[in-house]
Amino acid sequence: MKYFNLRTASWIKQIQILLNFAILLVVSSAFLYATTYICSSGIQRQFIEQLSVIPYNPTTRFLSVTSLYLVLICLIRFPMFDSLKQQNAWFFWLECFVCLAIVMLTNGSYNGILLLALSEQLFYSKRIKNWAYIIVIYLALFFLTNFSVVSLFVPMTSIETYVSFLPHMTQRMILMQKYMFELLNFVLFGVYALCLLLTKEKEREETEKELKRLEQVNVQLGHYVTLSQKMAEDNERKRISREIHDTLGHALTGILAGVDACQVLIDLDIEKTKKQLAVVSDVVRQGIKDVRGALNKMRPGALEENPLKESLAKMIHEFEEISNIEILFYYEWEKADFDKASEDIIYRIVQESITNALRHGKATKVEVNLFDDAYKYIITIQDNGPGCEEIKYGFGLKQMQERVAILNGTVQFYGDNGFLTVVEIRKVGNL
Amino acid sequence: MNNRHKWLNIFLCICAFLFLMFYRNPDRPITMHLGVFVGSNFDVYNDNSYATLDQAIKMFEEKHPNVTIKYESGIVKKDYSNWLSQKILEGEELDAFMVLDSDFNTLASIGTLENLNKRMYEDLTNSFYKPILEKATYEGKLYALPYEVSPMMMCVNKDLLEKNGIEMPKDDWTVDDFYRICEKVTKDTDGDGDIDQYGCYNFDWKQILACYGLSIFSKDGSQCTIDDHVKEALQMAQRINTLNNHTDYSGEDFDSGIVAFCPMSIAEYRTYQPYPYRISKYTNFSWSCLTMPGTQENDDSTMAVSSMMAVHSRSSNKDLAFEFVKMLASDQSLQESALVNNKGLSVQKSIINSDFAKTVFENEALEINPKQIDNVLTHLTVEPRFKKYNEASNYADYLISQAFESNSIESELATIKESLESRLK
Repeated sequence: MKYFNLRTASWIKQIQILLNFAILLVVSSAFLYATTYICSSGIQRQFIEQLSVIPYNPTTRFLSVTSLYLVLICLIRFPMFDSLKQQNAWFFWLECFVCLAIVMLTNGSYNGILLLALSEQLFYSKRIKNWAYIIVIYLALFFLTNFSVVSLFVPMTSIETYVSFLPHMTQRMILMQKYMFELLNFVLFGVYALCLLLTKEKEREETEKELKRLEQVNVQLGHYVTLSQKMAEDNERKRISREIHDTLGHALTGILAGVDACQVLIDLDIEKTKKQLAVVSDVVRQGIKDVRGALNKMRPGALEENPLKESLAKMIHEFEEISNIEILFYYEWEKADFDKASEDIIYRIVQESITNALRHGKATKVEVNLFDDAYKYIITIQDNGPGCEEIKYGFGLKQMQERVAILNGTVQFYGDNGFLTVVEIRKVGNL
Repeated sequence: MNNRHKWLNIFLCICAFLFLMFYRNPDRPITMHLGVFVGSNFDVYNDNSYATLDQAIKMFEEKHPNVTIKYESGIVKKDYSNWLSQKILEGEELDAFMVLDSDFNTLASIGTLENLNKRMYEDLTNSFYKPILEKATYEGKLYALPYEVSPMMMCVNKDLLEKNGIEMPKDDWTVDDFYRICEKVTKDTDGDGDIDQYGCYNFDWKQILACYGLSIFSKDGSQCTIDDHVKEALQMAQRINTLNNHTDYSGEDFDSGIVAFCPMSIAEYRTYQPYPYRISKYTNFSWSCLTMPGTQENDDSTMAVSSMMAVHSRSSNKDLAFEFVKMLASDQSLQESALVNNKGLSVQKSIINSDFAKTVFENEALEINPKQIDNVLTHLTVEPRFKKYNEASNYADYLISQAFESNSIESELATIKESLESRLK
């Protein structure tokens, strides 16, 4: 089975072309030879009696059959017609027409040449479904161009009549050769069609397989969509809890720190306490504003109004205001260009780290560094608190990890010398 | 160049190409080829057979200065069929050619001959004797123009009839009259027991059938028409045959004066009647010619051979070729020349009935007058025309001759009819 492929088919076609040429040579030279023989043996009158129509000049017949066949070969073999063949059905009817002309020129004695045109048409027909129509048309042509049928409509003299005037042996040789070649031609055509059929069938099977695979992928995609919807829902939930944690949690921590401070101060210095309370009041307002912003757009107002650096500076200033903490802020990302979402995440990371330093670390000094090297943006937040031996991943840290992951970055925490948070974000275009 | 202009240009190119392909200057030099044979179509001696043809060619070339007409000379009638067949097989160019009676059916059936129906006009058609044109007609189409004709006549040994006390028959005699005379003259004159005086020589069954105005084939060759009339005619043929079949005798017996009748074509008659041949051939008795015997009902009793010229259906100069053929068949001077040179008869009514013809016959001392001939030509027998005619006719000849030999025509006729009918299929 594996030999029935297009390569074999193209080989068979070459042989078919040669074989048909041989048959046409046998046929047209039989006409030529018989005429010469009849004329030289003085039986012209007897022969004329057997004719049904005036014959063509045998030499002209020979030459026109040969040249028409060459035209046919050109039509079949020249690659410049390939695109024509793929686009136009009429091209095959041109080939078919040439074949019919050859059949008529050989007095209907050889119509196997139609198989050549049929092979061509089958080869280029896009769908096997069309084969049925093509084959039916060619069967009709075969029937109609058969000598016994065509001679009913167009008077013709069969090759057998010509050959019957030749010596017995020559007669047998010529007819035997002709029938043998014709048989071979049929067999070749059969194998050719089988090759095409099997190849096309195989192509069809492969296409079907591919389709099935695609279908599976489609189903998987469907699952994935459902999954990702769920994930998006989860994410949204997380985002909301984050917002609450960030806005409300942040404000409340600030207020708590401020109120604690007031509790101590109120007995010592009322004026200072009042100031502190005013700050707390500001923090409360800011908190309310934040919550509103979160509720409205789930976006921090600070960041909406200011670019990243200003937002960070403002946030840090507010921290310094409400707590007894010194924050050093170094910003070297002058050329960085993040989208809003990324800026938002970075803002939140810094904010979270400072909050942590204040809340858990009991630090008095925090250093915030934003810088970059050739490949990545780096954020370090170092406080001078006691740190911790074992880092517990609470909600805040986990969230930080998730957020950094969204930016395609990494976050590391070190608790041995104060608390150090290192965030690395790969620069876009550097993998 | 926009699309419309492009198509217009292509169209113009195609037109120009077709024009160049098909346009022919009417004054271009043209060579026409004829197929002709030497000698007479009526198997008589004729040393001047190209005379009329050459005259026709000269006249034609004078009328059309750009045309040259050529023919291959020296092909004898015996070889002509093969020669013509070869030309046709090899697809060689012949514009017009002579057609033998025996080739006419075959050549017409394979389409070698141009149908002349459209080219004939009424005056032209009417100038010919109708049956002569019919002889050149196949399946209702005229395929050749006859230019001379030679009907059969019955030659009579006047001396022999006189010696036996028989009156010379008249032109309206019948086959029965003929048989009675034959019966009378067939006898042993010197008393040695062998018959030495005969009724007729060479009068075969086909001619007898023609005398009855019958044929064994229908006109289109679709069936064998042997019926009671044919049976009657064939019985008569057998009787005549039996009467004359006692001993073998030959044409020389007629020459030596011991046979009363001998059918002979008018060309033969005209060849042997005038002075030099008559001396050498028929010296010891006086003889004359009668029209063929008929029956009471039938007068179309004469078979004839005609010379025909046809236009090749693949000729590239059909108009000119037809003009030439027409000239040969209808031009007065050419027809007169043919009448004098070729020993046959003209196919034109006007020539036969002219003083010229009368003078010619008188000069040759022929004992027939133009009026008789006019009558004969108006009533010629036309053989059926179909492709297998030659074959079927030969077969019939074989079967009927066999039946005659065994003297059993009456009993075998049904079998013969069957065999012929199967041969026609």
